[in-house]
Amino acid sequence: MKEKKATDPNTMDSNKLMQKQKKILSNPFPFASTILFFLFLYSPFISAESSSQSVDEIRKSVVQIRVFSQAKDPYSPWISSGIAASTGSGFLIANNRILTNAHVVSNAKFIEAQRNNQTEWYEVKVLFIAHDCDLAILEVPDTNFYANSLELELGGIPELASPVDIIGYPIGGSKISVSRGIVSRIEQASYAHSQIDSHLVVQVDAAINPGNSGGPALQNGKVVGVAFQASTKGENIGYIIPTNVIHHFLKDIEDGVYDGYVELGIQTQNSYSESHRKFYGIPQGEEGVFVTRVFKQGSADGFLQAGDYLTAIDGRKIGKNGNLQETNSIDFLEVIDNKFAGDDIRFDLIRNKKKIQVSFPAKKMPQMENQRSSYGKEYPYFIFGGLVFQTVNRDLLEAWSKTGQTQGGSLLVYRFYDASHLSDGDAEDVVLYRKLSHPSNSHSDFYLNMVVSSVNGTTVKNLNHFKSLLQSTKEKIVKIHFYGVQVPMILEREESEKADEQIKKTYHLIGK
Amino acid sequence: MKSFSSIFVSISLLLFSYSITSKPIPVGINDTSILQIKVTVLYPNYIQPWRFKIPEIRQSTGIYIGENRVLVPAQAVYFYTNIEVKKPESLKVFTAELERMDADLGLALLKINDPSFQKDLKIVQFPSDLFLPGLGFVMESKDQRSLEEKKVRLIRMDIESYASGYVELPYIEIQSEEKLDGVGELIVDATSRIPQGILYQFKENGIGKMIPSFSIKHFIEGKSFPFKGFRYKPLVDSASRNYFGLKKDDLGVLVAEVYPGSSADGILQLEDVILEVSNFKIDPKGYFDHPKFGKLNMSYLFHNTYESDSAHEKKIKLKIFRNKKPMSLEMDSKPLNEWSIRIPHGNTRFQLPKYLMLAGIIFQELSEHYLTEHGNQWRNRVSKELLYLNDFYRIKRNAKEGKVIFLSQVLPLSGNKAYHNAHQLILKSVNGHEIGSLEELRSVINDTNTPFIRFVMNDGFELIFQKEEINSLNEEAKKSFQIAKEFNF
Repeated sequence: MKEKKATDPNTMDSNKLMQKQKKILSNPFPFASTILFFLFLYSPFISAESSSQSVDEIRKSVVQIRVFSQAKDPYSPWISSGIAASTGSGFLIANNRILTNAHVVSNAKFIEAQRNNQTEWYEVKVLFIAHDCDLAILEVPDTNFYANSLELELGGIPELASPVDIIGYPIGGSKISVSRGIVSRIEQASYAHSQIDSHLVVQVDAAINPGNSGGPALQNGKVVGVAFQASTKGENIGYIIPTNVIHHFLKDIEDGVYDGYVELGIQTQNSYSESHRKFYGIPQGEEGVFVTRVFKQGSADGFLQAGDYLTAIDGRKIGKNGNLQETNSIDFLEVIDNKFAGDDIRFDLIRNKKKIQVSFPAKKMPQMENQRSSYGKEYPYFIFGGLVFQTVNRDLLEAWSKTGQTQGGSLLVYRFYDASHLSDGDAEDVVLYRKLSHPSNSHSDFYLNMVVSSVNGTTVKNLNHFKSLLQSTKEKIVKIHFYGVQVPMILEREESEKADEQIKKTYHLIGK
Repeated sequence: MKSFSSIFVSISLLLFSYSITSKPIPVGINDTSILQIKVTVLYPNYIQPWRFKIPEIRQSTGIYIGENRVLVPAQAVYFYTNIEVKKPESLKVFTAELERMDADLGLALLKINDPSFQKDLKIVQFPSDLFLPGLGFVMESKDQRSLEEKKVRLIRMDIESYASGYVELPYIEIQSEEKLDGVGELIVDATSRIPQGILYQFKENGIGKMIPSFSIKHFIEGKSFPFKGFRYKPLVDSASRNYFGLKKDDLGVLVAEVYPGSSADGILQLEDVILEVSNFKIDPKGYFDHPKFGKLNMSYLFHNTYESDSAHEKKIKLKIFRNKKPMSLEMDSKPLNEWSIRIPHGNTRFQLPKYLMLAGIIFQELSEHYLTEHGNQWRNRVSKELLYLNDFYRIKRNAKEGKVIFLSQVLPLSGNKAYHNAHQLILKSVNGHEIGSLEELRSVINDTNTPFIRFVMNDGFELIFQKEEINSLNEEAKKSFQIAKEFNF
């Protein structure tokens, strides 16, 4: 996961950015000369490779996007961060829609866009955003924006060693940029924006820089991907989102709602060991993988079981290493990746030494949501007696780890990383991760960074349940038990409620 | 001949008993009591436990206590291969053997078998008295130079575990403007020159810790140290105090953990409130007023060996609140039961890391040493589950809990290639048996009559071998990776 990072939007101080744009627009001469130089520089090879469209045509499709964003601080969820400005790229596809990366427009408060040779910046609306595959669809309400524009067509997945051109506005420049790379690898890999999702990526040996994100990767005039992340280890290694992922996103939003990816919800291991295969009665020559764990609430929950030997998915044979035998380079989970909620998943498998077929509908797995980095949302929290509780999620964990106040936090970290199997799919961990100091809670450090297990004997399901247990109890004393700690925290309900009134004023808590 | 030797033994015993019961003797600046110790150590490799690290030399001070015996810090002799003792201003080197060690106190006794060793040496005796606060001298002997003295101030007594031991023991905080090593130097009172203790730690800020003479005396006499066998939590907030029925009385701490098989097991219960120990009132933070040493943590009343209020081999009186009712209890003081340590941390207690190889796969018992050997960032690098267990379950919470057995690594062979990527996985069961130690794992494997051995890990990952494969793969791994033995226990 550390190998790749979603290429940050090109950020700069918002005032500077404004001044820079004004300067460029008020002085057209250098602007025009740069375009001429650019044309001179790139036109020969673009005309050679992008045979169906000239660079002039392509320029009609590529969009520069400027974003003003503001995020919430998960550690202090009642506080908003400062306003940041950034730029990215996008391109026009059918129906006057702009396709870009989700990370370009995440946490946006105001977005505007401009096409090549335009002087006006047009306000943009986000129609759909998919953080799990780092894609978004934008639209400009003002139709003047689309004058003399060109919609790009989606192509297929490029061949290995074939050239692609990455078009965009990297490093904040207002001039379009083209860089050429060669497709060096096609594989399933993690998407840095959400940090948890893994889909197909195309690796190219071209630099993808901040501001490039969201721009098209073209081959023979057709889009073969969206530039989105770069390697932090190798030099000049960039990644593009291939068209099968883009098609999946576009199909998902056809009904006007983005549902997101479904999850099979299992863990498997290879079947290289002959003894392992004999133990489970797997016939010679039969390839496949063993199921080691089935997660609650995943698609496979109730249909597959540990010890099953999966030999084919939707009729496509699975190899001993878990790759599809037909290609031997793509994980069989890629088949699931192309499905939508409700689609049928069919496995041929060996269970208790018998060959059977099992099919079940694909669905999303609720516990994935807290594992994923999230954007543009509030972080629900609950304060009781100055003690701050929140649902355990990736954003909180990352913010918390930067505070240095992580003593005893291995319980929290372990429960987060093993949440898929610790959770029953319905319950979410609630953590006491900080306190707003007040004389009434000076004793509570013993329980900091612990995960709540019960309140007055009732097992806590999630933050809302925890909140309602505390708010509805008529007991004078509240006993909160935490995982790993044998003695409970004791609170006097009225004293804690009274302290909260003062704490809200002292710490300027808004709306809680 | 027999009668002669028995007479000799009797005389020796008489002399020895005299030496430990007689009045303390001052240690003069020219007394030959302070010795130089040079130890060659060979530390084990916790990640590859069939290997050892490169030998190292450790130097410390030794104190001659008579009978050809020398007192040294335990840290100096862990995993020794050779111990050399040298008298000041002498070129002759004597070889010593380890006689006894207390891992919690951090002291060891060396025995020198050469009868000529004691010639010209003066015996140091450790008394029960402490001159606190007061001035003292640190006596040290370095290289070929004569004895040197440096000034220290003995500040106060406090109590906590030493050098990552388990039992909290009294220590004396010292201050000095001079640079000290903190490797077993003798500290004597500045006026009377009576030994006060041994320096075992000194930091750059000029603060150090001294093992008090009464603890040293207790150790030399061959006695064990008592362990209270429970953990407590302060009870400072009014909500908890009201809940546990404590009205205005400003006393009491909450029992938060009771260790099985310990002094407290069967006596104290979770959520008991301890009000008094040995007739001393315990405040809500767990302190009491000692008539001589001032405010002290209540662990002192269970763990100390100061003669006038020692808990050793005594019944300790407790006053508690249980279910809001006052009760009086008595607790026998027992030493720490080594069996109750589930995940060893801190000092090694001289134990080599154990391993068992099965089919070229290494199984180990979890210890903090294994985790910390992953470098400065070890907490970020090791398995999250192992880290969590190490933080929360070091001491058994019930008698049934065994050690944490985990698969640390797979030695890559063609016969185990299906499992090459397995790493730091906790073993859940073997052929359906839950495993609590490497010995148990070995005997389950040896005794099983089924054709297959099936290892199931906590995360569901499985490793399956035919029984005969285990031995043949072990032989291959031993040959290929130059490992002498399949196990080391």
